[in-house]
Amino acid sequence: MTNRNITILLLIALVTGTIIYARSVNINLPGNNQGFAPEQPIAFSHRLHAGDLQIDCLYCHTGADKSRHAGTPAASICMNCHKFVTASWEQNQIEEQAAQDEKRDLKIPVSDELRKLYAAVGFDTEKMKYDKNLVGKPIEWTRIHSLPAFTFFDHRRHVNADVTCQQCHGAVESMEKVSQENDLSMGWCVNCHRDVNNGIIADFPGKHPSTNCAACHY
Amino acid sequence: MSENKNKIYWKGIEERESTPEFIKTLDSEFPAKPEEVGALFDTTKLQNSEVSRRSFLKAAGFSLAGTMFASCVRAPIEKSIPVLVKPEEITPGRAYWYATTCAGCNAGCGILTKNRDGRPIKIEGNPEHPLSGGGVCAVGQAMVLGLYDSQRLHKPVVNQESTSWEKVDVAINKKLADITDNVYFLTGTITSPSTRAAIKKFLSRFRNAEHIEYDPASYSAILDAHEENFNQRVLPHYHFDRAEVIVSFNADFLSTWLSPVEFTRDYTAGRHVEEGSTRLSKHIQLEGQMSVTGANADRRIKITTAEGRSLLFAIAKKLANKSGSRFPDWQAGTVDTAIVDEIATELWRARGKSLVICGLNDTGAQSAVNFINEKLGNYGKTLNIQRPSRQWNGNDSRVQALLARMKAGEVNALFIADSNPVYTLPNAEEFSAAFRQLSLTVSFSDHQDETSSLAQYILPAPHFLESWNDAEVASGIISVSQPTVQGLGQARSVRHTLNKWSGAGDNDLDSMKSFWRQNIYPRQSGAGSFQEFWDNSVHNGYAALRPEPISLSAFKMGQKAPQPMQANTAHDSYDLVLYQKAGMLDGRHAHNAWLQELPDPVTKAVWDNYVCLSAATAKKAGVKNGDVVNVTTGDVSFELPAIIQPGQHDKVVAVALGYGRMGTERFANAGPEWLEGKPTLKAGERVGKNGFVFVSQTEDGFLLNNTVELSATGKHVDLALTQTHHSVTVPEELGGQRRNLVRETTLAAYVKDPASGNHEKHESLQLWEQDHKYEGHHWAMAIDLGKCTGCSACVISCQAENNVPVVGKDEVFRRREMHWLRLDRYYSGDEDNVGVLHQPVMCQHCDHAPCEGVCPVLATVHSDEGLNQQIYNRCVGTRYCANNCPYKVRRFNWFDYRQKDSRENLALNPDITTRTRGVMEKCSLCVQRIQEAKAESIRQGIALADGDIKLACEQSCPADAIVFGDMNDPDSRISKLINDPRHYRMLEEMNFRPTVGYLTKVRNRQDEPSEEGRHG
Repeated sequence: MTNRNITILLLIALVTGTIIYARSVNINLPGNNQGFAPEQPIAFSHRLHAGDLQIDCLYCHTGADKSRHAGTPAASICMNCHKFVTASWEQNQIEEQAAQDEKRDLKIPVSDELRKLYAAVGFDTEKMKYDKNLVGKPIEWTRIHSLPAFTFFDHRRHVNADVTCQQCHGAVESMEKVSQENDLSMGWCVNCHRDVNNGIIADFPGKHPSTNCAACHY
Repeated sequence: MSENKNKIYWKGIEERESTPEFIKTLDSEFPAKPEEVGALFDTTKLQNSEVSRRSFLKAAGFSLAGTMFASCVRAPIEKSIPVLVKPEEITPGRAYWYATTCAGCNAGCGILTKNRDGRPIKIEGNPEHPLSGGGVCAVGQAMVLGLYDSQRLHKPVVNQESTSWEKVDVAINKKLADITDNVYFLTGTITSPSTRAAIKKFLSRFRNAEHIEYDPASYSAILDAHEENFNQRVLPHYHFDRAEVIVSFNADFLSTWLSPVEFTRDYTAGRHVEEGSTRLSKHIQLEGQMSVTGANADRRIKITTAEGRSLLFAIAKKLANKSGSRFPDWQAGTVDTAIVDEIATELWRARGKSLVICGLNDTGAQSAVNFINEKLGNYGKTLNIQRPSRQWNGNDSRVQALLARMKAGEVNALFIADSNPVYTLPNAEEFSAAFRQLSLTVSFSDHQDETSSLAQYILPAPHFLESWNDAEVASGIISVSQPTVQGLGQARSVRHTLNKWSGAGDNDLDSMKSFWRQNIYPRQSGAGSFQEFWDNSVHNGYAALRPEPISLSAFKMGQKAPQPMQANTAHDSYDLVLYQKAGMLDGRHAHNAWLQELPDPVTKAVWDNYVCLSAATAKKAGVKNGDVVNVTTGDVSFELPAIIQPGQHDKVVAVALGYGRMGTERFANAGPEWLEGKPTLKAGERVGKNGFVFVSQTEDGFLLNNTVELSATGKHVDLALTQTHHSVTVPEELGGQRRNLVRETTLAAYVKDPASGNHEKHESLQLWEQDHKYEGHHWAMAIDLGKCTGCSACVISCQAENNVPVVGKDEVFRRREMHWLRLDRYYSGDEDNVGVLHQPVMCQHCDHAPCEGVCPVLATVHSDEGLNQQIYNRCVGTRYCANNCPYKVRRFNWFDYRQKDSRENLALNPDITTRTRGVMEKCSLCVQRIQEAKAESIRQGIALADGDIKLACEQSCPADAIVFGDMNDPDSRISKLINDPRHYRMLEEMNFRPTVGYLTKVRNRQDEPSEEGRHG
């Protein structure tokens, strides 16, 4: 084989290799973060809270029906319950059993993940009290659903028009770790708006979602 | 009426004369000197370049590959960091509004601040405030930028070294322990009763201590005249809405005089033109230079300062005859008896419904004004001294006395707050020399300014948006200021500091509340408990009180004849009028880049001051626009460029105050940094020259007038004038003549025919009627030229709302100013009798928009609600749209106009995109406000009502000239205006179908026939 042919073969191999590799790792177009499911600083489980315990989405994401942003919940909202609930039911059972077996006073069990929350808000689990001196840093969650800066999405308009959270965010109540369900591209947004207007989606009678550019871009 | 002569409107002298050079500049979108264009294509430069073709291609290839790799990665990981403990009332993403009081000047307008994420980003008028009623001026709007000025002092400074409050308190208390007498407190007018009380209390421990108030643009003579005539030093509260005849001598009450926002509101309320309910006051303005107020007058008479005073005396005498009383023999010089008769007749006819005011700081003139108003029975009707204004209380003679005492070594300690005498006093050098000799000097300034930099101690006072305060702006109306942001530094209010030194507590809010409990609460009625009263006052931003009783004696003229004022007859000497400019005022906000780049409402100049001359005077002095002239009086002189100002008296030259401030050196490189960018100031040079050096001192105080000589220097500087930028022109092939874009008529013609002056109607053709039905909303705007005074509040309001960048003087020369809303100023008539019209122009949102068809990437398209949308992320910057826009309202981002001062970025509005380089932008009709209002209506389940959406320009307009609404709603205000016979659209004959329209201006004149525009 001539050098020339070898080069051609290598090039073909490189191109096909790249294509096969690209398909196997599911490369997205730039800006498309579909499937993004980062590790969060606290392993918060939406499956447990929203699924098993059936806590309403709006209980924590308080802004969703009244602001453009749904909002990452403040630690104080977690503390509404976790001031009292410090560990899982299993952990509590084990501790109760152990205390009974060892004939000692019950020690309050604290889960490792919740310790991070308590460190942030300055909650002393020994005394079950807030301690100003213990207040740490706010929790740095990683943002999953993110739109470009020139796009203004308003949660309030969608929630108040009876669009469910799941329609865009997927079945979050079944996600142990939240991942981005949809690609959040403009085409995806506009398809829904158009389908509602054309009656293809019939869940929103009397609603006429705008397909004007300035509905989102200004 | 078609036989009438055509009235030609012109924006500048060069346009009226239509010189070939000027026509040429209109053809190109941006001016470029031939040598500049040549430089860009200079092949020798390229050939001599060290970069070879090969290495250029290499670099280009690497850049391309690098960009590809970079774009393959995911978007950057963003953190979402919520607060630990969420305040119950705050939801991220929602704006919160707080009522407070503007301290941009002393007028104390009620404002609402829009807060996002704990910081104020926009100031709007408080519609419920009894004085300002929803309007706010350009200065007020710009105060939000001043808050984020990084040159503000945040810590006390002792002998130019930063220190802590603890150390300062100890050091000053130690010094004060040794001082027992001769302590002086020099301030601007203090409208805050609680601060006034704190100063009084602090001074009470010293013998021979005095609190002196001083306003650089002084109104002292009005107060002094009232003391002479009514035995009470008061400033009347004027009610322009109740006046049918307004005669103003040199008082620019629609722009800077006393309380311009309130006056503009009242003035336009008295000028209501509507079929069936027309009520139009007659406004006569006598002035030497062309002011905003003069531009709006029904009749404008050019006078010199001395002529004005003589006229006043003559009119007083005439009215004394009519009313059977006697006016003293104060006559200086000859007067035009026709004018005297005309004004006296008008005034006499409108007894009790007229108002005479005078802007001259001369007690004689002000006494004559009082005499006239008294004899006309205007007191208690159009002006009120039972419930006087408290906005300005300066006393010039006491300032002069203070200086004399300082020079005599009779002052032990001087405290200065809210005042900058080293900058504003005509004899500043004497003052600063004496000031340096004092044993204790303390300045409560938030900047290193001319005065504070000489003081031993600078104790920074907070910005009004970060502190508590109160202001009794008129007797019986008290406004409250509340902090809208946590203090950005460690500034401490004057009241706080003084109370601390007096041992009256260390909590500013507590001390203010306790003052209110003792002094303000007893004067109110309505609220049960103090807490209820306080809560209501803070919530509303103001409270109504019982006015303090005031004992006035019956009117009597003073015994002393005023100093004669020599008529200025010498051949080459001129009357100098020092005037305050909208935005710059007395220079207190010279650090504010928005205000520096705000085109002057009349001259349309930015970033400089200049000498305004009439065309004849300029010819005599041998200067053209931009030629530097030397202005001299005695041993004071400075050099400033000349501007030829139509409508100016030939014997009057005018110079704006407020320039040449210390600290404006920072603007030398304002604007983007790039290859061709040039600094506009030499090292250490300040923006403009300080006009206060020309203030003359009389017995009565500081007179903003002088007699000067002019001489050409042969130098020339370029003036950054925006007046002929973005001119609407018609190309040669389409007729090439000027269109009547502004329309006006007279009251006489209007009464006969409400559509007078507005007969040019054109059939509008529709090609796509079926495709564009505008079935939901169809947004539209109407601007009443009869109400618009040209005050320019809307320009800054738009700038603040829409993140419009400051481009700097160098870029303004290239016509690249970014204001989405410009105020076109047109002159009409000839040099002797020039008329002025203002017209706000922004994107006209044409239903047949010429810009939309030419965009190759569909970045500008029409919405089904009639908005012309500009989509920044689609725009690739071809600029075809701007070239095709007949109204010249599109602005291109030549650069990333980031603020040099990164802290100023905190004033950006997060509700809209901040545009980047290479993108076209223009007025969006505040689509973010439309969207917000719609979202709230959906959330609350209430349908949108007319007036729910207020655009930024509309909201701040003190004259209520701008109306926005849905023209599909037949009951909306906008629908009514569109059906008004005065309504017209610009370039209607071109069939662009703009949704922004205008209403003809009606002037209260009988003489002039109605003007028909020429047809295209």
